[in-house]
Amino acid sequence: MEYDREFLTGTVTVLILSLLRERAMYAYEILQEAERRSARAFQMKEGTIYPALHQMERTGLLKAEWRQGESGRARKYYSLTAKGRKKAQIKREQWEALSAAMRLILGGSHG
Amino acid sequence: MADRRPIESIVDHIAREAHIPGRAARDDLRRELLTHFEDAAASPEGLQEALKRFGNPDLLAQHFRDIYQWEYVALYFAKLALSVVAAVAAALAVQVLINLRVEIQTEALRLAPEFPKAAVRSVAVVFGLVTAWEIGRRPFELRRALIALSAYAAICVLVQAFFALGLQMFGSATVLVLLGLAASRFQQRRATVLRTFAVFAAATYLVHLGLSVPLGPGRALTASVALVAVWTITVAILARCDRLFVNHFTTFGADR
Repeated sequence: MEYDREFLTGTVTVLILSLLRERAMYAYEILQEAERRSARAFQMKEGTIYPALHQMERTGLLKAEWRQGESGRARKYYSLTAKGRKKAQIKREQWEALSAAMRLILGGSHG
Repeated sequence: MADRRPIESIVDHIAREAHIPGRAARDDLRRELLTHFEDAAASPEGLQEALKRFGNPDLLAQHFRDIYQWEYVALYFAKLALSVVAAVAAALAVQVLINLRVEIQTEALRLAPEFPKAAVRSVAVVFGLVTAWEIGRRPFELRRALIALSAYAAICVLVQAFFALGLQMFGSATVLVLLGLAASRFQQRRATVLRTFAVFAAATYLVHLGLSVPLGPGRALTASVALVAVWTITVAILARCDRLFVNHFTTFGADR
């Protein structure tokens, strides 16, 4: 599904924080995981994840390190910092509240 | 094995245009993007699809520039300030050397009466040259050119407020800078330096002659030696500071 850029801007941060809450991942893995979990509904221009990751690393939400993955190839793995964990929790709560409210509104318009 | 050249070219382009400070950080991004394509485009057939999914490289570079823009702007002004301070200090040092006299009676060193005017003119030449350098920077940007011209005009007005001869000095400096540019175009070759010197000497002599201010050819030549020294040193300082700045943000060559 194609989403407009404005809609995606806020979502990418939440998506990255949510996925990295579970384990450290590299950028392409984050993209694949997001696509898989959303049953391919969530597809964005893959390049856009890199500035987002850099910005989050700069603001202290993420830390990054190069290490070998299961395939034996070196990849840049991102993981949450303590600040990032707090932010992930806050974002998750905000997102859940917002989506619950949106479901009520959208559901109401159909009912 | 897929042909990696289009990928490497795209990755290089992004790393170059992203304006990420520090070579290590740019190399890191380059490496990261290359690993992306290792995963996304393992086969030749997958390459075009991977490039399509990746998105517009220019847009991506713009996103990176947005992230680092304040650091870029701050360092740009720091570079400009450093160039100006170093060039003004050098210009004043040149004028002190040229105008230093030994007073025979007291055996003391003193500056010639012409020193204040010559010093202000040299500083004005430095500011004019910095302005021309910023306007001439490639790629040309109207906004940068207007800011440079406005700053030059503001400094001119400021100097006039403190020194009665400010406008006159900046006026003559502007003419000298324009003549110098016509003669050398920022080049530092011996032939262009000699041509600039000749142009300065002729201009200095003719302007004084036109204003009926006594100035012999000898003094016109001395004044021009000082101006050419100021000119050459300023261009060298601007080029060096520019190179430092560009190398901090770009790995694959300068923009001038």
